[in-house]
Amino acid sequence: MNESMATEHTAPTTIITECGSSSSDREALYLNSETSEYEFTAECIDAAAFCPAILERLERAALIDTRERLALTLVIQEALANAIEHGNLELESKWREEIDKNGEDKFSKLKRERLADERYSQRVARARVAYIPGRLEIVITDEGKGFKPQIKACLPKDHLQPSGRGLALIESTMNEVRFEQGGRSIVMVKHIGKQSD
Amino acid sequence: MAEDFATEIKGDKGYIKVNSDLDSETSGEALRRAFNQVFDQGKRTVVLDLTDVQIINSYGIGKVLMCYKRLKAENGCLMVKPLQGFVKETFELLMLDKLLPVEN
Repeated sequence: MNESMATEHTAPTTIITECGSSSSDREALYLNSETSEYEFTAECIDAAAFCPAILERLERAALIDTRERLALTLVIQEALANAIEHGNLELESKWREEIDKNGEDKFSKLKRERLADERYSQRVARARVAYIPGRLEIVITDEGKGFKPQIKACLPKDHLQPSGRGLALIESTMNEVRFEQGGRSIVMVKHIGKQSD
Repeated sequence: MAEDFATEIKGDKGYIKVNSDLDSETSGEALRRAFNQVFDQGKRTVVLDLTDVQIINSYGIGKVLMCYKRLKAENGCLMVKPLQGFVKETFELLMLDKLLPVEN
């Protein structure tokens, strides 16, 4: 789902503010600071495929390349999926491995139930994407119970484990990753341009 | 909604051409339907063509691994066409390239 599609999801997905939109390549060359904020409820099941337009503008301005745009898109998708599934819907990864007698895993079953329960489904995940020259900061915040974050993400030992890769993907791209608000907020920073190393 | 992914049977192999990013429930479901199509035709070697895919996220990887497990349970094999770009990087980072042989 790109940003133009996101605006169609007026109920579950709301663009709160979007500043500094540059429609032409010429303008993009002079891209200055801008901040965009978005909201997602769990009803927007494809929020994970969201891609904010700022990333395309950064690419047009040659501040990032295509590979970096894709990597940053993936970072946002992973963090949003975590915020919605683990944060707002309070679903635990280990439940994906618990299969009932009907062949359904506990994660999917509880996800379906909680999507139908307004106490969970109406919780909001917020994405804030802020660019200032040299730095892109992405903050994803949920309304769940929070968690005690691991100091360092690691890949699952079992390659076949269906979860546990999101944080590793995020850390492979971002220069800084930290949790705030008791694990309800993840702050991710990417150095852009000459300072990216 | 993602359209169905094209499938093809060649000899003892089933081929799935994934024509959208694997980053959402919609595309994940399209992969599941395509996989069932070749699996139900008795094919136990399935080749995923991810040439047109730019992004695969945790959700998409979970669906790919589901296909892998179903084949493995019946001594089958999930393969991929040669990977490229960021998808290749993602597979290497997650060490999935060790799991899924490449069909050249």
